[in-house]
Amino acid sequence: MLTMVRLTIILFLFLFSCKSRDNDNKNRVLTLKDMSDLATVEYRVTKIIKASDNKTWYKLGDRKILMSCEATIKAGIDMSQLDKNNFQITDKSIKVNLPQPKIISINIPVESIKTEYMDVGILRSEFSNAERYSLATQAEQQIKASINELGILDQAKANTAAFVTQFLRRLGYEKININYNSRIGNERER
Amino acid sequence: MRKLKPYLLLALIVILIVLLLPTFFKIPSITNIFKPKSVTIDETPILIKDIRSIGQLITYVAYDEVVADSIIPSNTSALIRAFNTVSPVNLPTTDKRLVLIQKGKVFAGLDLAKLRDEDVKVTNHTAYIRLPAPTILEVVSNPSDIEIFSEQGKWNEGEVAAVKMKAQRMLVQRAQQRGIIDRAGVKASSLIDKFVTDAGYKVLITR
Repeated sequence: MLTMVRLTIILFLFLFSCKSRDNDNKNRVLTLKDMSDLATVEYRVTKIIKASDNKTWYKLGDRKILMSCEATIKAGIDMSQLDKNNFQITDKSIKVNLPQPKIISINIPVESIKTEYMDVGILRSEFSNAERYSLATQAEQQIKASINELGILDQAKANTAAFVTQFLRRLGYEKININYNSRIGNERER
Repeated sequence: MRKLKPYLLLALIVILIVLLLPTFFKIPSITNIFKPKSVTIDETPILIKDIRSIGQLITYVAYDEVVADSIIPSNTSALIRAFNTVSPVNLPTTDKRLVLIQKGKVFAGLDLAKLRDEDVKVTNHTAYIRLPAPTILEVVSNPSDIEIFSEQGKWNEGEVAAVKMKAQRMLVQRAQQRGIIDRAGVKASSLIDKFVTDAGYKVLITR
């Protein structure tokens, strides 16, 4: 009898033991930091946020929402990776080896998040502001995951080459060759 | 005791079944039976609205976190407050109140797209460059950076957006108080100086 009771208690303790809490990894450095990014392309994209809330068994009725948001994505190069070894100068001719472009910022302005349509069952309450921003956070993650499919880095390469070429032409160079980390790039001549 | 043993064994088996059933079948466990299912959004395409060529030299970023709150008084709040000053019993007001915790990044630097041909002069292998003034280029505060800490009353989208814009203005103000614009200007001059020097010219930068 006593053994059975002990076994039952141990089983309960084992199955209902405390869950370990996730560590709070939000150690944010509240500070200024220097950068050296040259942003040469900006993409403005839109995304529709579509959600249905009908999976909780005890909540009678559905809730549906359609929202829209816009994001601004900037890409360019990190100029701190440039030094004199990236330049090859011969009289009026110059070859420049630029670093590969990267995504510099993704911005989803608060005023761009709009509720386009909401359908709420009689027995349900409307989506709260906290719930809507939770959905917008999911949209933010989806946008970040799909950035590479937009071709923004290829466009950044073309734009950066054009920008640097124009600047070097202002300095007086006539034959300008832009490469990206030893790849053959555009060749522009007067 | 012997009579109780089969009943205890049966009780133990029932407990085990109830606790292990959610593992094998898609039913909520006892502890989570009333936990609401989270709402996930559908995968929808991203549409490119616009592509713009820019030339922004971003040289400083301020990471910060601010608390912004706003109160919208109701029509009866003045009356209730007046009543509360004379009454021993304090009635709650029906004011709307929203408190947000907002993180953000403030980017500063130069907009080199403003550089004109007359701003770059070259004489005897020396480049004289007049740079545009440094400025705040962008403030980034995405949905994942915003936490609605407290919401009393019903706030519509426009009202919530107004509080978030207030938080953004606070982020910019704090960054400016830390001298982000001057620092961005100095760093930008240093970067342009280095680039032009590496490109084979002496350089003199003015603003």
